[in-house]
Amino acid sequence: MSDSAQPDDFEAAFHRSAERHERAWVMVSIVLLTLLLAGTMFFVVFDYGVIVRTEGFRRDPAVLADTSQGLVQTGPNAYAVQMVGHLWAWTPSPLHVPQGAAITFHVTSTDVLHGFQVQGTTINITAVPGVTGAVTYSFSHPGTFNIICNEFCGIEHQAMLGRIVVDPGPPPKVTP
Amino acid sequence: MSATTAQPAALPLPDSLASQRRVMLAYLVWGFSALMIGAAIGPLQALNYGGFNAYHWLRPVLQTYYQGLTIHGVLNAYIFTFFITCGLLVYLPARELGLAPNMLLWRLCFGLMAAGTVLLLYAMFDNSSSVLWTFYPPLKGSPWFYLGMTLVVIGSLLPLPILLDLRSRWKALRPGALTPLVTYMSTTTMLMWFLAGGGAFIELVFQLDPWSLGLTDTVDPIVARTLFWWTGHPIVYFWLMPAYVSWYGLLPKQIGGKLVSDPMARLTFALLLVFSLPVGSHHQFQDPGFSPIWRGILTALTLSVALPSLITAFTIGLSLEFTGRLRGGRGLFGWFTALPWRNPSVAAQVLAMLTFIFGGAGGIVNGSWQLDNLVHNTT
Repeated sequence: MSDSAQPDDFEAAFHRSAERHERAWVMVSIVLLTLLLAGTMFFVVFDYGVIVRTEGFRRDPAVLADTSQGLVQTGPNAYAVQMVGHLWAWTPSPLHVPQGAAITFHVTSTDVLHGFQVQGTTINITAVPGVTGAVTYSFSHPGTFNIICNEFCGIEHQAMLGRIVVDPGPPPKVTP
Repeated sequence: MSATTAQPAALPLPDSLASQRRVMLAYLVWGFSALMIGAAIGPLQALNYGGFNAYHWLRPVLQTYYQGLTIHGVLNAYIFTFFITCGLLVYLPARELGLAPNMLLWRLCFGLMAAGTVLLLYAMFDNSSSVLWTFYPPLKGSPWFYLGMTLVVIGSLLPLPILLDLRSRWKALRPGALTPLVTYMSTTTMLMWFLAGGGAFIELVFQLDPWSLGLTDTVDPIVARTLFWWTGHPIVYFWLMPAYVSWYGLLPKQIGGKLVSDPMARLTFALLLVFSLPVGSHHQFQDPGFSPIWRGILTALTLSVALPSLITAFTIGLSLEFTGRLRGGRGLFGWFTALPWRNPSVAAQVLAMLTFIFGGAGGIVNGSWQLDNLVHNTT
């Protein structure tokens, strides 16, 4: 029967055509992925600041942050502090802060990477030399909080502790 | 011997690849030797957490907890996995296609990684490079550490040209034929690693090598971290995908059944290739300057990686059930107990899957943005 040859011819032709389509789709996918990758990388660079639009959070690593001022009042119920990690301690510590106020920590490092984490809170930011990160938090209860280092920084990493003492504030106003 | 050794006629007799098998065994021996040293340090860490410092008694071999931790991480996460992956994922496709791989490249791959391992071991055991497996600058190790790491990374990229050459030679003999599954999966894994390896390569060659050798004075830690995690996260897929090769490509035959869906296996690997690449920066959520939008995108991408794993759980689960029922398993779980548990290779792979379900589920939980804040950068 001639039929026996025909399905092979048909299948071969079908396969060739299917492969052409497949190649087209593969090309389209590759182009899409390339665009996705380029877009993603652009967003990383543009937004994350690998190549920064603003030098806002960059600073000269040779110039040490001034931690001598301690807590500075920046608003009616807002404070800011320069927090510096160095081998192997946090400065300033112990730090007294008022209960209920918005405290902004400007965190940096003078040597290697450190991780500024305050136990029992959501404060967690990497301390990077040459970069200042900011994190704002309000302590709702008085008490003592431990600052730990969560980025490996050398032989005394586990002993790099600090303390934040939250002083009791005025009793909260009861809204009528 | 199980029934699985009956190969289709297209496959070569095992002996035609005898010299390839010797090279593969060399890879396995190096890999498992590294694991043996690396894993031996694990109990010391557990003792340390239990308040018992065993390092006093181990001088001068090991000085400190962090030195041990560095050796543990580097040997287990890089050396063990790279050797096993680069050995098996070249040998298995060569066996499947019945073609000899480019032995010069494969031996070069082994030589570079072995030389790198020797340099790494020297740098870690002389207590000059306790920088952990992430080796973030500006914490500095000895130049031998970074040079060794560079050789290991370059070596691990060489299986890709070997596989592409194997596949194109096979395709030239059979125009229009579909690439066999194990070759497809292995090549996809190596393509993924080629794209992902760029980060570590650039970090080492352009930042850390010249810096540790004293050719440059400074290094940008934020750029280094970003480059590291470009590679550092997809590296887990460089460990995971070979396990999937084994589950998709070997296990169904070993239990005497079949893989229920070949396209699903291919889709899984295509998805892993796409999703594994751009998610690494989720290890940098706590870095300064990281916007919430970008965190959101990365969280979504991170959770997307669960998709190919869920497909795998379904497809492999169904393949196991198919065989289990074929072997007379009845009821809700009867097919599971009917699997050929007496075959240690089968038992090991199925038990590994069960533990991976818990590990993967834990990974999805840790992938949440909020938990990352409290449990430092574990996503």
